Amino acid sequence: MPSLRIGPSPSLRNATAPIAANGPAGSAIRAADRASPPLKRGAISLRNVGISFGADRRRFALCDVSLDIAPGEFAAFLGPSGCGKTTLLNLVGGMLQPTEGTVRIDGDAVREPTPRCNVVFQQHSLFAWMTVLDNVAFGPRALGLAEPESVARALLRLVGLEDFAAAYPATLSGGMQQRVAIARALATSPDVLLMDEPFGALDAQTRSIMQEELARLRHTFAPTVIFVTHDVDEALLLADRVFVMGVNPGSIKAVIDVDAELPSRNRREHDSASLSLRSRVLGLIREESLKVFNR
Amino acid sequence: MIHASASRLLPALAWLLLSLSLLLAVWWLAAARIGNPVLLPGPALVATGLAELLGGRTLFDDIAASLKRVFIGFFIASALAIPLALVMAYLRPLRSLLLPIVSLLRPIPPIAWIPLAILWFGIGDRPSYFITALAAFFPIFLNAFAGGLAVEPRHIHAARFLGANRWRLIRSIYFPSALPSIWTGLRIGLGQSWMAVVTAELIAAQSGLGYMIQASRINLETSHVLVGMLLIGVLGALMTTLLGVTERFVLPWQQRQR
Repeated sequence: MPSLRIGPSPSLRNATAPIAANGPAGSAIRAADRASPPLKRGAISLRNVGISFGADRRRFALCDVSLDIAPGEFAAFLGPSGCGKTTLLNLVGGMLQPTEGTVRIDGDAVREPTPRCNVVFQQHSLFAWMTVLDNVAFGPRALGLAEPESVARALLRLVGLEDFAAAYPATLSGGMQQRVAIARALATSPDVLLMDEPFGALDAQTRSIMQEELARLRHTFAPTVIFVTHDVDEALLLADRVFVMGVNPGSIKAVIDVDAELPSRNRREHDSASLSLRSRVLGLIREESLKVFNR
Repeated sequence: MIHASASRLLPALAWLLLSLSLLLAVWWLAAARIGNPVLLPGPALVATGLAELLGGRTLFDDIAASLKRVFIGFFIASALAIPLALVMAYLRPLRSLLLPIVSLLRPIPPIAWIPLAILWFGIGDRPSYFITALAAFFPIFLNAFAGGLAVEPRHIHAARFLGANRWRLIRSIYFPSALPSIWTGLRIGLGQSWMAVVTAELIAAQSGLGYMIQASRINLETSHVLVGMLLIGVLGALMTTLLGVTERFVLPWQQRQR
């Protein structure tokens, strides 16, 4: 499987994979990489973040959330519906503004969506009126990167869709569309990748393949990942840390260091450690879900 | 229709011929039963009427006059309605200010504007431009407006994360998002405009297919009235078909969804 490094993000410096993007795009990428300072980027920091609404601003969608996510870390957010997982993702991306507290990426307050982050939604986020290639090349073009088409083709090759470059998104299956969406998001080499239930609309088989693909891409590109999901197994499979969120108000209920608890890399295998961790997480979520029902 | 392959073309054509034959048969029977060519001339008489009219020069002048009025009115309507609709979709205050006016003016049929059009513009081309533009304006405006409102927020977010500035957002996200709706509006607007030109010419013109129908009625040349009516139908159907054919070049990504 070919791997490559693309774009100016210094976070890619840590990718161990060799460069496979041949030609001028590859050399432009290497030049950009050399020029940037040897610093890992994509550190996310939330301090006492809240979002309140209602006339008196006393009702909270998210209340007093503080957390730090390290550059290159894969952080999954689990919790019952209405716990504010997506709200939190929107805050990190600047799609929403907090009413309390601050959201910072590498020390800068987040005010609006910028190319520092990129996003993969659950579905239907591709630009229907553009071909697959134009979708993936959109970011490199908008940012004025060199050889946007070569970059886009390299990314499409990486997700195995180079033969579909000229197709329109509506002609692709749901799984293929999500692979294009991931390729498009990685094409600008974001420091932070926001994923809002990216595999939620896929069938179980496709989802499992996509999870493996994401695990692979993640080690190639090494962005910080904010991954919102309903699926406990998915979170435990992919994430370095899992944040379990609670309701009323939305807040962080527990943080699980999956790397520490399951040092074994093969998380698909259900040994006793992973099974007990899984039931612990399920128990936490169940507790929160019941709160909604018993209110 | 769009994926009509050679194998499907022939049956489609056969159906068209069958459909037209049905119309002719019903018409012929009705004319025979009525038995009065002033009330309803049969197909043969109308064919003779067409031959007479084709012999003279005025028929082509009338067709050209009607087409010119439709295209100019349609162009004026598009040029006004599309930018206005998109700006109103984008700017909420302007929307709140102007939308009630649109709701109030929209139910007034173009024919009700004809007295004013004659007072303002006299008789001839200009009142017809006014009426055809008015008829096309509302369908184009309303569809473009709906298209402008229907832009997906996640498309806007995605584009901004990908580094798009305001101009690129408008050009690459807002406009193509609204284009299918705009296109629908243009298609309906052209049809409305074509119907309105006949109305306008019945009253406020001295040329065109509408005028020709009116003049023929006064002379009790009912076969010429029917020639005019059939030409209006054929030309209108042709316009719709032409727009349908161009759609796949304007909206290539929508082919599979029809």
